[in-house]
Amino acid sequence: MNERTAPGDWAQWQADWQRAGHLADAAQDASRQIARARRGLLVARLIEGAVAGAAILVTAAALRHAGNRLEAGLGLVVGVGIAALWLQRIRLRAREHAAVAASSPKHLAALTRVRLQQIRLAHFIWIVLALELVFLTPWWVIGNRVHHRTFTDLGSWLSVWLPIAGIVALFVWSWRLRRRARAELEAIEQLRTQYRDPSP
Amino acid sequence: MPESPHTPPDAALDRVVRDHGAVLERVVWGYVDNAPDRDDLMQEILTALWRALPRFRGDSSERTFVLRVAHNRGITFSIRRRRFQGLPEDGQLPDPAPLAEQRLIEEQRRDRLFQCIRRLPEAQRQAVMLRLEGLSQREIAELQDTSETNVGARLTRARRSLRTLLGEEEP
Repeated sequence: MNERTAPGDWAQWQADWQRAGHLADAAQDASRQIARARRGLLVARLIEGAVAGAAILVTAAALRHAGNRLEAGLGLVVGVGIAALWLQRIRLRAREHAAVAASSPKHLAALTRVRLQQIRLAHFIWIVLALELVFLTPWWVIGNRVHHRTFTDLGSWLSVWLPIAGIVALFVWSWRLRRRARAELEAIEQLRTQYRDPSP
Repeated sequence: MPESPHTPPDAALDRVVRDHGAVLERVVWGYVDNAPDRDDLMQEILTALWRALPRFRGDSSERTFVLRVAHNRGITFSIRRRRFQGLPEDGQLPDPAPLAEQRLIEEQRRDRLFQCIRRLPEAQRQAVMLRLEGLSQREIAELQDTSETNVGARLTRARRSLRTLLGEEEP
């Protein structure tokens, strides 16, 4: 039956539906919500920028002490890798925002692509972290010998333990990003099936 | 009407909220069943609109554009929440101060309708909510990127499910 010719239920439901929703609630909230969202976005961007900037600076500082060309090359790869991660994250976010005004199946398709890229991003982070460890481990060991430091000196805290904490944090974050993206991919796929098939 | 490129996004959003605030409110309650989630989703929708409005070129009516953004954010919101809490539980819209009996009955009926709509599969739920907002099958088909026939089939099934669910919900 064509739904346009079966108005009985719809007319009643539409009347109930249209009675709900108070303009004042949304209007009253709008400026407060936007201000809150902007503050949240600004803080998140600042933290993200600070983390990425600090990671690049630490690598650049380490690069100055590179013992040979291999170490210097690895350091460069790591620095460029961190910058690439940062840019990729910004690009993914922009792509997700751009798809919000598309039709729902196109929006879901864009979400799928973004989640897949997030999974790839997590894998890329693991490669960069592994390379970083390959680069930093000899630098830590040799550097401590050259500077006659123990692993509990202040210098060691700044040049060894702090970067290790950063690496662990980045690994945990990327693992959670991957886990979330995989779970959301399943849900998105279910929804895409619904939108393809008129029966559900 | 498309916004002038010189209209600040805040002013455009203020106008959209004035014109379509009630629609947004209804869409939000179609996806969530409690006040904290309502606040979160409304904030996400408003932020998305604030960002998307400068890109609106008037290809569709502003109402359709607003509905599209709101539903897409609603879908993303439910995808995220579903991982943590499963299917939404039956909830209630905020209960205002004591009401006259007639109004109370109407509000209860409306709450039941929202609860039942929230229990529909996503694609059906969206089609129903758009239908109740007064969109034509052609407009719903555009928004769902499908044919009018498919939308008709989806609405027929949704109506059947809603009747059953509302029957179950009758006190």
